[in-house]
Amino acid sequence: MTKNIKTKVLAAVALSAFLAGCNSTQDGYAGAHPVQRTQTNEMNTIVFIDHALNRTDITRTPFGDRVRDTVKVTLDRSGMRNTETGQLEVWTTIRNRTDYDLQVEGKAMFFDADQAPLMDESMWRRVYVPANGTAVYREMSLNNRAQYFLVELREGR
Amino acid sequence: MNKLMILVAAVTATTLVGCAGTRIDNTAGRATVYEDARQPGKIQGVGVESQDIMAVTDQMMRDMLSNSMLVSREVSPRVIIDSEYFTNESSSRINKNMLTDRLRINLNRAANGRLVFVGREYANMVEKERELKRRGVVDGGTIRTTAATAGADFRLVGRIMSLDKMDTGSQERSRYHQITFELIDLELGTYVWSGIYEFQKTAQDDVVYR
Repeated sequence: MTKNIKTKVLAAVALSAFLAGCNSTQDGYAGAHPVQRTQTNEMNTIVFIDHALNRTDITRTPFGDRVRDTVKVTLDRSGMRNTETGQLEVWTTIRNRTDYDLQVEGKAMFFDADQAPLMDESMWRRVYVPANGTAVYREMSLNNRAQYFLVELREGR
Repeated sequence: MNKLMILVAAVTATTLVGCAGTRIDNTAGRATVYEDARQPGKIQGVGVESQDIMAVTDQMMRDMLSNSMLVSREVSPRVIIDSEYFTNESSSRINKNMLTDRLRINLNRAANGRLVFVGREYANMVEKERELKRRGVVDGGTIRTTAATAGADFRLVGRIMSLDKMDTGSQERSRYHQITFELIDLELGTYVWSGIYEFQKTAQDDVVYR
């Protein structure tokens, strides 16, 4: 009888631990929180701030981490260069991997050689990406002091 | 007796109707809130809105600054940017100065001397002051005197145009806007820079623009 109770208690503990494991994700967040939410944005990167567009969810289970990618949009190529007038130009090609037309909005921020903000922040630029098609997002800094950029993308509303 | 009862009933009904008519709806309204003017707000229609004005002027400004014919000259060119030759041919109600003023101000700040802006809109004001100086009513100021005010090299021209569609069944309407900006060489009459901004919006439009 005592052995039976111990077995039941052990089973309950194991079950709750298993369920807790299923529920937890990276960095202490519970529920659906993408990896991108807790990452630091490095300079000269293009990030999705709308996690419905492109995200990675890692769920910890007793059998190891379960990785699930949600990909509606990807960035096939990206680059930066200086224009004839010395401005910093950043560009990226956005690939729509769904069967529906999408609108993506982009905003660029520019920083000087010390990575200090130049207060050069563009307005949201809307890019129309046809179903399974590709479109280009491009933005330029206001002057030749820009050395670094940070681009944020979200779904257009 | 019957007539008396009818009279009493009529008076009672009139009194009750009168009481009901004095009710005033003074419930609290929605509190005023600040919104981000860079994106669509709570009230949206098919016309030109704050986010469109900010986006179009930002895009045109960056494009003009990337044109070497404008900003890479040995002597900074003089430019007039106002709404004198910028016309609204669209069905949207909009103050054109919101576009031209924002473009000029942000361009002036960003160009940092690479472009010189002539305030032709205020030419009369300048002429009056110059006249007072020349007649000796006031002194000559502290900076300098010139033979004449600045002549311009380039001037902004442009149009706001629209194309409207309406579904009479669903009452949905769609408006396509095309906003053009061009700089004219004021000696040769040639276009030295051109920019275009287009967008289309659809809504069941019951928004009034003022």
